[in-house]
Amino acid sequence: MAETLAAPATDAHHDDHGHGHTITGISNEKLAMWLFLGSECLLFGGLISTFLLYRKKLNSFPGFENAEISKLGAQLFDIPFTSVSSFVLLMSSLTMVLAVSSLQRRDEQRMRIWLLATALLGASFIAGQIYEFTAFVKEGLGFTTNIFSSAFFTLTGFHGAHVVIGIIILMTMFAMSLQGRLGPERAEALEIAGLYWHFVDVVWVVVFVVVYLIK
Amino acid sequence: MSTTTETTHGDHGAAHEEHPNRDMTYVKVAIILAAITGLETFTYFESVFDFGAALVPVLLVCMTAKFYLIAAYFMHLRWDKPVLRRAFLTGIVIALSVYAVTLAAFKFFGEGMPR
Repeated sequence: MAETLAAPATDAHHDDHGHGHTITGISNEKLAMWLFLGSECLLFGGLISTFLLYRKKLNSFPGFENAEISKLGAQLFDIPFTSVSSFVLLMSSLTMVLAVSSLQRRDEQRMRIWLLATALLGASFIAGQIYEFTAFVKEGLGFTTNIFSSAFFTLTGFHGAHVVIGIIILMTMFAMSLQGRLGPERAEALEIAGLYWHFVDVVWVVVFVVVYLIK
Repeated sequence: MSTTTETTHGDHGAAHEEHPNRDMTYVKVAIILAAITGLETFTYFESVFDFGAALVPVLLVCMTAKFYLIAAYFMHLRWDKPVLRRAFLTGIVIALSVYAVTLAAFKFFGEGMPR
């Protein structure tokens, strides 16, 4: 009888990672993040599709009245600069996964270093995006210049906003860690934040090719 | 008391078993990602090498490879429960389907946007 009563109590215990047993075998928080990321695919899919539809609508941009899409990359985008930005964001994914790995192995000091590195790399990416946007505006390509620029700024701006939110999450977790509120028992919380960060990176992988490289 | 200590150590051991050190794997994946990004950037310099009609397929393959590597390794889908992979893939498949139909409706494929 005592064993019978003890069994459900064991099931209700929270395991080593801070989440209880669920019907799926994974925590509800993690499942919720994956479902959220699935829905984000629809958001960015819509923005990318809109850009693809309107990328040929350059007509009202000074100097591009008769522009062909094949010349767009050469004349407007600074591909080497954007490639470096892409590389920076890719490396931030590496530092993020190393931060999660460090916390899972109970190395909180190293986790903080990787977490800070991730936030700094993300901030570098945003700085590059601000520089790029500023250069476009100085050349006369603003948000409302034409339908192409609206689609471009909306897509890349939404992505940039996601990166900024990611940096805020990372810095919050860094502060929590300094206060001792992000120990190894909460490694899954950091992993979930990491999922968001990697998703932002994955979106840029698509944006970089579709917007900047495909002519 | 000693029993408690043993149990705790046992839990730690289990945690280490559940989270094997994959740092070198992550670094290798990052090197591959950087190399693919280098190849993508290289396609931009047509004066050095012109990919011609193969440009778009090459870029799409590179993009898909990078997408897979990040999702599988950095996002742990390779090691996580299949239900997570299904949740994410469902979102991707729905998005691709919906927007492929949308683009087709706007005659994106072929003759371009209607005026």
